[in-house]
Amino acid sequence: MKNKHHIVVETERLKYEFDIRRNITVIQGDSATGKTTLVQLLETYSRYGKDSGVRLQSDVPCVVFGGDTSLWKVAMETYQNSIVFIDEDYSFIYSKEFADVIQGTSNYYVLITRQPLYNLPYSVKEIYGIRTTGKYHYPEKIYNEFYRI
Amino acid sequence: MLNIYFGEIEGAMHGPSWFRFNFREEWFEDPLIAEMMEDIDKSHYKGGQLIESDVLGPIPPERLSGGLQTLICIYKRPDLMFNATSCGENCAKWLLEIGRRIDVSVNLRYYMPFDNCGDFKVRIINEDKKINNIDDYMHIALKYV
Repeated sequence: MKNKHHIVVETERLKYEFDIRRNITVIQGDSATGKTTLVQLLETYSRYGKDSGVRLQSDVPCVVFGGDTSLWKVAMETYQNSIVFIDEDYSFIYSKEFADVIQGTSNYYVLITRQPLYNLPYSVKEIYGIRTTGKYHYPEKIYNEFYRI
Repeated sequence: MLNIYFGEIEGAMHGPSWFRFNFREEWFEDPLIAEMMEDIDKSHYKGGQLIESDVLGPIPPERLSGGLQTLICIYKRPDLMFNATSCGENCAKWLLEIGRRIDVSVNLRYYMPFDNCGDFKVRIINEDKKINNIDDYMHIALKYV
């Protein structure tokens, strides 16, 4: 997979809009900025599709790895030409095996982690935090964007 | 005191998972938890299992941030060691505050800066060393993460 991909994930109350530019993107930053919520929205969309009330705009599939850790390798090799989001605390992402496996796939990976990824060749330019733009008082809609760390 | 083990260690609990199935409602009535909830999650406890978030509206405790859930676990279950890597940098001052009140041991797998967090005193478990300045902390921490 090549090029930049513009992603919009939206519900009536939340909107995330960002670009994924490289094969490895890292999201980190303060607690309570909406990292897990983004993953939950994408997870919900991949399970229920449009019926979920989540709207997803992307020129490639966005998938979330979740569930049984022992199946990570099969999952990574099964996804093709997709953006794979992996929430924090999956320890396999720090392994050399993970680095080797994903180099042989056609996917982009968005990894949510604060822990250094010594085995992965990622650019310091592709480390982002999430911030809310504008006001954020319930029940107003909340707009989230990525910013470079 | 706040005791920190840097790097991976067996038995460090994953805060958000532990919290989800083990939290107790009465914990939310603790004034320190109310302060942390307001500062980190911009949320306020309303009673029962209802929390009001400035951002998300009414939410259950399970939708608090992973960082706050982990801080609550660290504070309320000092007999366990939790992986504080789930806590972002905005949790640093609260980790120190918990350590000022009780003895807790946490696991950190990234460099958490404690700059501008007030009175600083921690023990690094890896080297069994008490330190009270940020420079020493940085030098030791960066050996491990």
